[in-house]
Amino acid sequence: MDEAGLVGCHQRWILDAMTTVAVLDVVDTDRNTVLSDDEQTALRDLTVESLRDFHYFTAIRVNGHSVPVKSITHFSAEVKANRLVYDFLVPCRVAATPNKRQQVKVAVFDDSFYTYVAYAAEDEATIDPSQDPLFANREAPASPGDYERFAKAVGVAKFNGKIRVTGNTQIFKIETKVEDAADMAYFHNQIIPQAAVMAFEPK
Amino acid sequence: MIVRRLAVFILILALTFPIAGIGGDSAQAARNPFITSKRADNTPDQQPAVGYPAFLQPAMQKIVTVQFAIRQNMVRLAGDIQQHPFGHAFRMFMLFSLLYGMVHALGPGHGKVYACAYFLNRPGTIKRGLLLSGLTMLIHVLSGTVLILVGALVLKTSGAMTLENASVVLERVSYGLLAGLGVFLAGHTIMQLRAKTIHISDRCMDASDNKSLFVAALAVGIVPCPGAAMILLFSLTLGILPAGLGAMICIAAGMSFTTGLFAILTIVLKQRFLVLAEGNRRLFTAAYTLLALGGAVGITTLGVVLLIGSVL
Repeated sequence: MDEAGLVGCHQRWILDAMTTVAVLDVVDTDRNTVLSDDEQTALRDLTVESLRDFHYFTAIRVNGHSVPVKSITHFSAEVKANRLVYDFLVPCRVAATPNKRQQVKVAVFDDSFYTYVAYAAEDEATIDPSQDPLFANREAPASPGDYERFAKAVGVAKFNGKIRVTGNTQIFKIETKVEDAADMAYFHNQIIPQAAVMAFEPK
Repeated sequence: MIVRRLAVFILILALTFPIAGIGGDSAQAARNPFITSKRADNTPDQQPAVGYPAFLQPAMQKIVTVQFAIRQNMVRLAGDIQQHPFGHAFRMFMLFSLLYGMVHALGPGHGKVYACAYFLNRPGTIKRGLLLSGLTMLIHVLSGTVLILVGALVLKTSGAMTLENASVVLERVSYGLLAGLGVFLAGHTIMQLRAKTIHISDRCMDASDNKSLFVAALAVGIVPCPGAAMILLFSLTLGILPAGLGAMICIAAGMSFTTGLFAILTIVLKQRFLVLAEGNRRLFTAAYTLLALGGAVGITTLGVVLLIGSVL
């Protein structure tokens, strides 16, 4: 946020190992899993171009009205523990107005059904299948509660972390929460995403 | 009584299609959004005129997460396979590949709608339903496998990008074949109706049925499966190619199972439906015409619409 209001929404994506391999297969020309300057540039161009049609997996509603995401800025990428990590800003300028509560709702999902997006708190940014107590246990019988047990243990359950607001926050009254956003349902209205909701107004 | 039972079958058939067509009323599977410059469906903001039943919501939500969960397990197992190439982890990798195929085929693409539409038009048996789905999924996985391996091992370039680039061309070939197949099936049906040689018995199948089944499998399957391709690419990169190739077979088998269920459901329902109407010649002819032409017109329309969409 700046003194005028909301500037945008910063996102950090940690790609899973398979998606990382697919992307590096295109940009990591020397196959050393380290991104040189040229490879960084190639990755930025590839990402900005290829995800544009997918609105960078980001849906935004400002005061109930949909705002299409057409660009991103400040993109950077690195490989950490064999996973690509993207950082970027989705610009979304919403000016603060006296005596008016502005509400911004942001959900991140791939409506083409190709990519599964899971939200993670900043200190829980990995999903580890080995956390499942029955991971790769061939003696374990199949049971109806298998998926629920796996999801809970591994961390693909619903997000209940906090939304971090940075910048010039002290001049605004800000509230944040995470909710199921039925008005942002996608994939033929079959999937209801979780959305980060922020409401703010000048103090 | 018969009318009521006919109505029930029509209702079940009508429900089969939206379920089969969830999220992808087409042959194409989604492209990898991280490396492609154009989404496959070309309709990012379009909402369907008719929504899908609300009771499917939890199932669809689960399909996405279960696929992710399976893939994460496979990532972990791949590390173990590097240490023990054909040990326990290898067998688990194959099992997860089979499960992945079964769940993955519930998502967009994978020809469920086309399998249903094809058997609405042509006579079928359970064996032919399984043959069509098996052949389709084998070609679907094989095309991706060939592209990844040719790109990585022969051309010494990016297998993922080779797949993406070829997919654009193969999609157009697929849509063209589907449009042609639909026209052929419609023409064949009209000739049958004129000659009054319509039948529901699979004993009356002619040589064109085998050819059309193969063309249908080729048309739908020729577009590579990006989900399977990503697993192969991952295996290739980790140096566990035999496991990757084994996984491709298992994924094809898993997807065949799911797609086959939809094909068999259509075949059985259609046969029951026509048997009910068989006593009344006019009703039978009307029912047969509706189903057969509906299937052919559906295939043609989707083929033409997708072909135009892919060219524009």
